[in-house]
Formats: sequence, C-alpha cells, structure tokens
Amino acid sequence: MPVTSKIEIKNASITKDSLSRLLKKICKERILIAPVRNDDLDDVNFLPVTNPAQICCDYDNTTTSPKEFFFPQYECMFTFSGTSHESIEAGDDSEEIVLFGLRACDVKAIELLDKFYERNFEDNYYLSKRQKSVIISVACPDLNDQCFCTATETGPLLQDGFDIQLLSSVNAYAVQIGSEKGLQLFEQYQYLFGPPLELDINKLLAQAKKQKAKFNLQKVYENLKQQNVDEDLWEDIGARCQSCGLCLFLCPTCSCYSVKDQKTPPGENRRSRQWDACYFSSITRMAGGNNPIRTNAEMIKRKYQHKLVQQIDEFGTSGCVGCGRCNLACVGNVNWLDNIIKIERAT
Amino acid sequence: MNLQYIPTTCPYCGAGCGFYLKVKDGELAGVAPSKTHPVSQGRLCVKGATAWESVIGADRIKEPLIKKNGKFTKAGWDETLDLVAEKFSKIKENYGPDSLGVWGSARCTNELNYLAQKLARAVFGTNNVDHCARTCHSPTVAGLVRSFGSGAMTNSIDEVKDAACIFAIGSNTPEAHPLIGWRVRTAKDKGAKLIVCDPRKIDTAKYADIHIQHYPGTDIALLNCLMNVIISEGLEDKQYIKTRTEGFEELKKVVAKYTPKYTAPIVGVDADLMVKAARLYAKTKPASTLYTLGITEHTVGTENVMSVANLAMLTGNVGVESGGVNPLRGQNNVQGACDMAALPNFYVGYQKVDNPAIQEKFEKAWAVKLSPKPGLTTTDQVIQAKEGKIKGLYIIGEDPLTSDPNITEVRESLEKLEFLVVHEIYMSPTAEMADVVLPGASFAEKTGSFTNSERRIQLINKAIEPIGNSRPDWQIVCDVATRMGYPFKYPGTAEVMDEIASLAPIYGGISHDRCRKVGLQWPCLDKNHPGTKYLHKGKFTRGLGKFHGIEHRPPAEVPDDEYPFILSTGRMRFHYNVGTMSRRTHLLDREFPFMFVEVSENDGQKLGIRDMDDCQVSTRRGQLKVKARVSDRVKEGVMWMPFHYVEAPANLLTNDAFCPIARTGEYKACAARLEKVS
Repeated sequence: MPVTSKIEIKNASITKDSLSRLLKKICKERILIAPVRNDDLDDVNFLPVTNPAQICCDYDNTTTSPKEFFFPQYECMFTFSGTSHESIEAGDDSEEIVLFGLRACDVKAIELLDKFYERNFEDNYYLSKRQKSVIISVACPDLNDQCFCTATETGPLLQDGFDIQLLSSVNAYAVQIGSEKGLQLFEQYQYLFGPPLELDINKLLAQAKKQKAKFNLQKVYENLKQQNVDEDLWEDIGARCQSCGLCLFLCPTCSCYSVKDQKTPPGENRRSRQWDACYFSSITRMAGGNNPIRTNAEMIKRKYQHKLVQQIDEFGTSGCVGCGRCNLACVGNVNWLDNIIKIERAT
Repeated sequence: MNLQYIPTTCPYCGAGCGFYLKVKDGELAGVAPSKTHPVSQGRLCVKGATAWESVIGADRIKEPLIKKNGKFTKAGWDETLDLVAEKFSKIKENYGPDSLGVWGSARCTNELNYLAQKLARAVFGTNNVDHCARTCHSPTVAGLVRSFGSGAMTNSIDEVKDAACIFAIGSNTPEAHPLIGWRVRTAKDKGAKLIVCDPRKIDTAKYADIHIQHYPGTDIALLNCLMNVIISEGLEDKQYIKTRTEGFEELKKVVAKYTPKYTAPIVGVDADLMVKAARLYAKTKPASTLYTLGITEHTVGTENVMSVANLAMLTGNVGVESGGVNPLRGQNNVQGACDMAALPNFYVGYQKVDNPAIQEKFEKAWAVKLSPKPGLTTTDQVIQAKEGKIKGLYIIGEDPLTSDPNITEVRESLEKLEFLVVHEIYMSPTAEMADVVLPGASFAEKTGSFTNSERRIQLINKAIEPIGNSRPDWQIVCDVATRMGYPFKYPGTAEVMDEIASLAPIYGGISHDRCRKVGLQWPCLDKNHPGTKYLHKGKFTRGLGKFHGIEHRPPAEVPDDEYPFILSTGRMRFHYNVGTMSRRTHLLDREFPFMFVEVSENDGQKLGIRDMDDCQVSTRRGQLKVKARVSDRVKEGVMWMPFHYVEAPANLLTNDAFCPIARTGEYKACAARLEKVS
C-alpha cells in the first residue's frame, strides 16, 4: 500500500477559530503532533499535544526534524528468546497520527524518505507509520537567514506532495487538499471548513518563486558532478568536522541507521536500530580495518555528492531540502549553505 | 504515543551542555540539542548526541548485591543498608572514625556530594572524604588558590570565542571539551591568534599560529622561558604587575636563567619558536589561557598551575573579559564536587575544616561535634589502606582500579580493607572487589544539579524511573546516615540545595528554581545576585595576585636505556574516562573498539613497527599488548595511550608518583619501552 495517493488539488478555507476547533477534535480522536515550545529552554519541537493551547504558532522551524515520528532515533524492531527461529514477526507499534504545522521543506523531506524506504525493499517499520499518518503543513511566511528552500525548490509553498496545506491570510487560512488521506480528514470535518478564499494561490506561488534563491541548484549539481570543486574545500571541511554526527541526526532526509542485537536478561533478546551517520569512519570501515573512505575530506565530499547529485539523479529532487538545521549545529563551524555557495562559485 | 523532551545537563565532560532526553513510552529514545542553551547553543559532541544509550545497558546493576563466600548475591534494600550501617558503625567503634573514608563523585550531583561529605563528617566523624578530582584537577584548586585565592575557571566558556589570543597548554580541547573546542575554532575563524603547546599534533595544533611540541613534563621550563623573553623584551604589563600583584621580583629572579637557548634542549623545541610565541602572546590581548590535565597530572602539577597563573598575570590577562586562566574541568560535576567539599580540608564552599570559627558554624548547623583535623586524600586513603590504617571505604561512582596510577598497587591496598562498599551503575573492577554493591540511579533517573567548568549550576531532571531496583544516590546516602543514627531527612534534592545555600556563601543565592532555565554562575551571594561571569575583576579573591618563582623539575621517572620512551596518557573524543558509559554506547564503541598506542613514524621505523602492528608497551609496573598507531601525531621519543579500556588499562603502566601538594598522580609522563610482538 502506498503511503500516500495524490489527488487533484482541492481548495477550501478555514478560520483561525475553526482551525482551533479542528485541532481539538483531532486531539480527542487521534494523536496530534504539533510544534511545542519547551518551558525551561526555548526550543520548539514537534511533540504530541493533548490540547491545542499547547501548540506554539510563533516559530520559524523546529530544532529537530519531524522525521523521528516515522524513523525514530531509537527503535526496537523485535524481541526474541531462545537461539533458533524460523522467522520472527516484525513489531508494529504504529498509531493513527496527525502532524500539524510542518513546513514545506520537512514535507518534501518526508516525501524523499518515502521514496527511499520504498525502493529495493519495503521498510515496514517506516512505511507502517507513514501509512497511518496525515500531515497538515503550514506554508512559511518567509525565509530566515539560514534556510534556503527557494534554491532547492522545496518551499516555502508546495505545489504538490502534501496531504493538507494551509496558507495564512488575515483571519483565515487558505486550505489546499492534495492527497486521499488529506481528503478523508477534510471530509470527516468538512463542517469546519469554508469555501475557497479569494486568494490567488498561483499568484502566491509565483511570488514565492520570485524570492531570491540563495544559489542555483543546477550549477551546484554540475560543478559537483563534473568534479569542478577545488579539493581544498573538502580538505578544509574535513579538518573542521569533528564526526559528532549531529548535523546528520538533525537532517530531515538523512536515513542511515545501525542495527544492534542486545541481550536483555532474563532470557530475552532485542534487535533495535538507531540513527547512524556517514561522518563516523566506522560506518564504512571493513572488518579487517580497511576503509574505502580514507580521509575526512573524501567522507565530506561524498556527503555533498550524495545529497546534491546522487539523490537528484535517483529521485529527481534535491537530497537537501534547505531547512538550514545543520548550519548552526557544527562545532567546527561548517556551514552547509556557505559551502554550497562556494561549490556554485567553483566555476 | 507518549514522546517527551526532558531538558537536562550532559553527564560527560565539564563543559556542561544542555540537551533534551527523548523519552518514548517511559524509555530513553534519544537526545535532541537545544539552540537556546548558553553552553551548547544548538550543538553537541558525539558523546552528548548519544548520551541516552550510555545508561540503558542491559547489564545495569539492578539490585543491591552482598558478597557471600566470594560471590555476589542479590539482596533487598533493607538487608543491605542494615549491613552497611552495621559494618561502618562497628569499624568506627573498633578503630576510630579516621579508619573510615568516603569517596564522593565528580560524576554525581552536588546534592549527593554534599550529603556524602556530611555523612563522612557528621556521621562517620572524619574528614577522610575526597573524590576523583584528586586524579585530575586538584592541583588546579591548590595552585590557583595560592596564586589568585580561588581555584576555579576564571572566565566563562562563551568568552573564549572573543579572545584575541588563545594560549592552550596541555589541553586537547576539541576532543576532551568539544564545545569549548568550538569556541577556539570560532575565535580563530574571527582572526584570533592561537598558540598550542602539546606533545601531540592535536586538531587545534594543526590550525594554530604556533604549535610548541614540547616533551611531557617540561611545562615549567617552557613557561619560564616564555616569561624570560617577555621580561627581557619589556613586554610585561608593568602597571598591572604594580597595582594588582605581588612577588614579581622573585619570579624575575627565577626565570632569568630560562633563556631560550638554555631551555631549548630541556623542552625539545626550537629556541626561536619560543621567542616568537612569547612575543605573540604578550602583544595580543585579551589572551585566554586554556589548560587541562597535561598541566595538572604531574608530580609538579600544582607548580605547573602556578606557572600558568604567573604567565597570565605577567601580561595582565586575569580579571578581564575573554582573558583569564581557564582550567577546563574534565567531568560533568568535578567543579561541583569540589564546591560541595568532597575534599578532605574544606567544608562546603571552600571553608577550611581547621578554622575554629568555621568548625563551630558547621557544628551548630549539623548539631554534632566535628573533627578539626584535615582528612586524607583518596591517594593517601589508598596508601593507608595498605598500611592497615584505613579499614572501611564507601566509594561512590568511581573505579580506582582502572583510573588510578599503578593499579596493581591499588588492588593490593583495597584487598586489605575490612569492608568496601561501592555505589555504581555498572559493575567495574572496583565494584567486583566490594563487599556490598549499591545500585545507583543514573543522571536520567533522578533530579539534582551539576556545576560546570565555568561555575554554572544547572539542573538535571528525571526523565525515566530508576532502572530495576536502583535508587537515586542521594537517597541511598540518606538511608545509610539515618541507619547509623543520624537521620538525614530531605523531601527532595531542592531542599538539599537550600541547606547548601544556607552554609556556603558562594552558593548563597542558589536554588533549584533559580537554576531552572540556564543556571547561575557562582559566586552568587544572595537571592537577588545575578551570578558572576568572570572572577578577579578589579581585585583578586586573595587581594593581590601572587607570583611564585618556580624551578623546572623533571618527572619522577625519566627515560633511560631500558625504558627509552616517555609514555603519556589521555582522553579521546569518542570515549570517556574508564569507558563505563561510552563503551556501552553502540556508535562510540564501534568507532574505537580497541586499545592502542600512538607512536611517531620515526620511532616506528626504528623499531620495525608499522601501523596496526601488534606490540607490547612495558614500564617498571607492567606491560600491555596493544595495536600500534603510527603517525606524525606524537613527538619522537614520546608514546601516547588512551585510558578508556578496562580490558587493557593504561594505568597498569602509569607511575604512582604524586604531586606532594595536591597528591595527584603523574599520569602524563613515565618511562616506557615499546616492542613489536610477532
């Protein structure tokens, strides 16, 4: 079963009051995940809420990415006891969830993860959670100084790939429904929605596109593919990288994981998986100690190639969605955006 | 689905990053950074980013254990606590209070450490209380108190990024304190000058303006030489020396001998490079000095610290923003454990035990007679255990059988004890020797506070229930005290902190409520005090800063024909101390799963040893078979080993020679031999 089926976009509207009522209803019937500001520290992150009053509306984007609701940092795959088995059923703890407040970049990131986890073999740990989810995204009012979705063509408004997209207007949101799952949710609560606003979405899209892209993705792609980038750049980033993996843990499209078996006495064993990162040398190191990625510079170069060439070749969309989370996560002051601009200017 | 983000403080190094523990359906499920935390600012190191996994190993100690006929058997809490109280009471009765000792822990909270020292002083009746700062930064406390009057990092972590010059000596900042390493990188990116003094070509050395690769154990000679150049060229801050310090003439007299030409062969560094470094340092202000255990873990550790202080005062860099002398504390709460007086000579807040007025104050507060006699350090407790004078030890969250120098000797000492209680989260070689093992709850399972390197008191919050039948350590200490006839009654850790605030003037304004968001930096004298960003502004804590003229002395053991190398030990990015937590973290242990020794290319070639060859490292105390890592990282004639591997403990080799003032072991330099194993 595909995680989502696109439909021809349907337009509607919802007032801010009705949206609040909608979210209250959803809270009662399903699990609602929305941006929440922490009381002690000020970070905004996606968390389950039981009351729409907990939702934070004043945020650029969240500190962590919403990928963790489909691909958790740590997940038990199954448990077993004894030493011999013909087969073990995969665990499935997925629940009906509605994610509210995602930005366009994160929706695009999930779309890319969908493609990744459906290719070659179907990863049911991921797909089962995706199938039971509906996403209500909210278009960004503006770019901040670290994000760059207009360059990666992943926002701030989406043309497709969303379940339900909200666009803020004066006292209401323009609503677009773009998938079967979105339509089902819309139909269930149709009485809360109004007719389409007199808001020319095509005009908004055109305006969004006009926002200055911080780089030309095609040029970046070509320079990387044709190896036009001076090796010094990779050497410099490689020397700065401290292999903490945090930028990749924050990245909404990074999908590497490591599997671990652990004895959990008495008598039970657990297979789990957790986020992994290609900035650890042990991810490519072979049993004898040889490593095909010999230097930090090669490791870094491969990451840029993967996100900005390979994934474009394979999926037709950029592996970087321009959310900017990694830019301010580095103890070596590696700024992904600055480096992409350097790559763009290599020729 | 019940996913929560619980804000807390990282349990690893002394930087004190803030992060969220992810808790899913009651179990730890990850870590998320915090963009607003003053130390971490959206960043974390690899240990912080994986810290959630460190405490949920399947082999956590889940029940109290009592050794019967040489084997541990699970026991109930009542039975175990009764036994502990009875045994300690009996030893006290038979041999006197000073036959007992308590080891607090730099890994545990302020509240635990306060209660542990109160247990020793008010219940056991002895000042024999200390903790693992003895193996790291005790020379800092001893040295900086002598020079400045206060033994803590003078400035704040975030000030480092705005320094014009950074002078880092004996500090592998990016690996041991990655979030302070970030500030060094940021300062450099902003145009600061960077001088790194380290026997190894560590990451900061690679991008430094000057890297001085001196021999381990020659820091005083090097620092004296830099001061010699500064004074002979008239680059010292004369006004500052005149108005803020004393003892300059004594210093001047001693360093006169340490000309670059005289010093070069001692330190193994080109004379011109030292001249260049001295000029760059003296002319670029403010200069922030960073140091860690490369300075302290020597028989001259305290004097090393005072020499660092000399250099900073000579150039007027103490008491200024983005300057200062900044010992980077190695453990999450080593600053706090010192503040809380898990030290044999102080009450909480550095109030001396042999000061009668202070003694009276604490006797009144605790309603008990107290001993005026300073107690024994952990080093001396071990030595006296061997001599049969220490009979019972209560060790909290420490593994001296992996972390102390010359562990063969330590084992012999601990074997002599009548009763050993170890309070741990996982079994360790020391816990294996115990008569009773008490299962403590980890940082994720309790509340309390840690004080980071910049004196910032920050909270940890309970994210999950204690694993198995483990209990928060502060409660265990309360139970032992109560069963020994002195009830410790606290509703929670916040009330313990209230008692601390009432007794320690530097913590006077601290409460859990005030520390909830981003903590407070001591001195914080009252409830309205905003805390203190940097120390010694306008005036040193002791009045005038004091210069000390200090002569170079070589390490206790120097290379000879039989043991021709200098062996040094230390920490690396992917592991932490004795590995209890990092070795149980999948991604960390996968990255560096085995012990090794770093050797220079020239030495490797001479001995026919190639990278990844099996080899044997020997000292007068033992030998280890390990892999050789041959590179240009370490200086010729020097070898370096991490100490994170319990199966191949570097401290089997290190020298149990101690700083006579601070009693810290000489982990950083001993004589060793390297051989290829075929």
